[in-house]
Amino acid sequence: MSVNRLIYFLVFSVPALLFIFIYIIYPFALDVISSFTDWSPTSYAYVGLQNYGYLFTDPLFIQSLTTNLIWLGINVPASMFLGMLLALLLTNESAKGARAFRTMVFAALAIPPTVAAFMFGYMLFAANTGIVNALLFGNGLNVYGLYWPGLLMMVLITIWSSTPLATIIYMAGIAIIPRSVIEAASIDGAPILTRFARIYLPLLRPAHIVSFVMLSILTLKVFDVVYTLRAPGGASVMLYYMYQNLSYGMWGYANTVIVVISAIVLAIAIPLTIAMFRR
Amino acid sequence: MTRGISRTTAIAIVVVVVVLVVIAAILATPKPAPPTTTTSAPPATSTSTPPATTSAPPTTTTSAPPQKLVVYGPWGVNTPEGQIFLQLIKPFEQQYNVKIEYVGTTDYGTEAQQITSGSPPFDVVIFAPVSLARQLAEGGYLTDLTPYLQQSGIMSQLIPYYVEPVNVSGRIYGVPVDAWSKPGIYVYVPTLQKYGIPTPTEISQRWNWGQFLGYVQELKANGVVPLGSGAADQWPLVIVFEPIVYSLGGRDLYYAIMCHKISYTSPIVEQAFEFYLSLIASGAFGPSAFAASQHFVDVYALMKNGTVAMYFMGDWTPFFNKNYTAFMPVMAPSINPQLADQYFVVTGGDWALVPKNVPDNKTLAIQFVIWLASQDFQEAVLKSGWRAVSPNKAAMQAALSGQISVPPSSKVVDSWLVQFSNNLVPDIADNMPSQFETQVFWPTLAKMISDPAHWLDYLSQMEQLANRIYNQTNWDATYPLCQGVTYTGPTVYTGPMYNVTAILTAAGIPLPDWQR
Repeated sequence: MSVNRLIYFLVFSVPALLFIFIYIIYPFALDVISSFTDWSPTSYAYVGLQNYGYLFTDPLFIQSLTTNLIWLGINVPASMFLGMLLALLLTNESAKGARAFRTMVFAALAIPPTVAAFMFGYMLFAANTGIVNALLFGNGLNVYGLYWPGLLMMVLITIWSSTPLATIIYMAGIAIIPRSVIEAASIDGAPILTRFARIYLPLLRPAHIVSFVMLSILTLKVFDVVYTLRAPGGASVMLYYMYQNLSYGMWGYANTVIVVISAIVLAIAIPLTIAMFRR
Repeated sequence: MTRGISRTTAIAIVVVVVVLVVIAAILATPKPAPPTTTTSAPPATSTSTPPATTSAPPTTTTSAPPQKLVVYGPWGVNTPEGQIFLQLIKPFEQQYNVKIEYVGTTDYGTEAQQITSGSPPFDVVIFAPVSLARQLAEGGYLTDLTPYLQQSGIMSQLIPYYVEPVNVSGRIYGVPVDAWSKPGIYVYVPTLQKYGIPTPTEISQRWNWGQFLGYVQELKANGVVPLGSGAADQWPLVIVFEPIVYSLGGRDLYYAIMCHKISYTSPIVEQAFEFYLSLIASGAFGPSAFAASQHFVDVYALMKNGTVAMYFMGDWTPFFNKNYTAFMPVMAPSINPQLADQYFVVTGGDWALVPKNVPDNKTLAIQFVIWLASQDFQEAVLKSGWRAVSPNKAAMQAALSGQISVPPSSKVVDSWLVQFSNNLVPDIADNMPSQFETQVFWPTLAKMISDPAHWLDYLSQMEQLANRIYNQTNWDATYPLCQGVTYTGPTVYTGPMYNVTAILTAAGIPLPDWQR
């Protein structure tokens, strides 16, 4: 590397690296280190792996982790499927009103999750005040008191709010598929399902990976909805569990939860990101 | 490797990142142990002597630019409670020529971290979770207010019950700024009058559980939901459970459950839950979906429109509704006839703390917290109807003697508090380990509303988690209210059950093996 290139490298990369250092690496290093302590308002002593030992036998954490995984298992495929479907419809230039629909779909992205949670939880699904509950279930659907209805309501909210993100990713993916390939298939008379299975699905591989990674991370980081709706039916998640421990002054233990969540996120993101860039 | 970056550049990036990680690891090394509690030494600020009493003249002239004081409190600025607080502290601002910047937040964990960081953004913080406040005091992060309280003469005015929670090794680290109570059931008087149901406010008129269930049936028969639940917020259900416990087993059982000195699967605790379940099974809360989705404030609207008649709730109820005659407290029903002449009032407070390091003016911060506990401020609180009770004895006496005018609903609560002053008990759940309270105890009460058939499973799970969490937090040894608590009372309640077991059986709710 020449001196000039080194100077360029430093000038352009150091500010970004500094930013990453201050806002990501340093706080995370602090989290990792304090996860080996009993950090609380009265103590900061090294306890080795005690927090990790406790965490992995903690029924409340395991329940939160299970809820996160169920959430992941439903939200990610559902949002990807709906996002892909919407992207195909919205990139179809012959479809009337595509622009208006595009605006409507993306509007969901602008609504904060807390507002969405309130809207769904209180105005649509709650007994006595929820329109959907009144119309479909005669106010008999108990979404607040039971685990599965509570969880499914929250998953529905995240599907609603994360589908537009998947749509944007898929629309970008569709835009880079060579038109000649699609036109050739049309001329050859390939049915729509064949075109979908043989052209769109394989050629959208980078979009699948990006949306899978992003939606997985978003789902594992879900907090606002659970916080707003107070974990209906006991459907708590890892971040909510971490927040509660943070509130009680069990900071060392809360940081252990953060480290585990980060490890899970990285375990999903790193291999898929590598796979995406592999040629 | 991605094209476009040479091997040398890649190595340079890796080297820079590694260096940054190493620096981060060095910077993030464990902090030194927190300072030891300097309980006997005065705070290391310019406040070498205690401030003057609240009646002292202003320390600055009004022509000088106002001083600033940042106060964090649990009441949102735009909520009725936040609004009344801001209104009631105006005299202090005028008297001391100070501008108070108030921030409403209940993010106590963050506030605690800010205090331990040594540079909190506030001069005063009003705190509800007393166990966290005590930890901060033990860690040496709070100002010892003892000399200032004694010097100001406020100490002798305060009811010891409200000071004790912030007494750490004989030193006082907080000032009780308000007191709340959960006196029993709040009824919507017009609804009960409509159906000829009495509203007992004297111990001699108190309902027993059987009479209470009778009124529940009467209201149901008239198409009224007898009880609001607030179950979507979970915590209101504790207010249903508390009077059951003290009416069944008195203070002993109450403290034993709070401190987990008795198992959740022991017969008398199961019986306490049977009384709770008898309300669910008899439809007192209405259909489960309706009960489960009610937020705590929703119930007030339902009471005002005649849908719901009664609500186990706190003394803030009339204030929230700005109606001090229609929302009236009645005594919770008695269960154990041997305890029928004793009434317990659940009461607690919020405490103002002054961190050891404050951003603006520690002297003023101390003056402010002492002023909050003063008779003047406390009387203003009582007159406003925001709170029915006060941690200040003189203010309470003024309210009871009629020297100051307080709302009718407050007067009832005040009279109970004075009449049964030996039977004041803390919130049963707030004094459990916090993670047990919010992650186990509250949700279990809420789950029973929706799924009462599995109540024995829920109790068994709660017992396992209680064993784990109380051990983890070393609650026995560390929590003052639980030190020395033992349970020597009966393991089974043998008094009248008021048809409760039959109600459960009829609703298909299983009884414990020992009772079948």
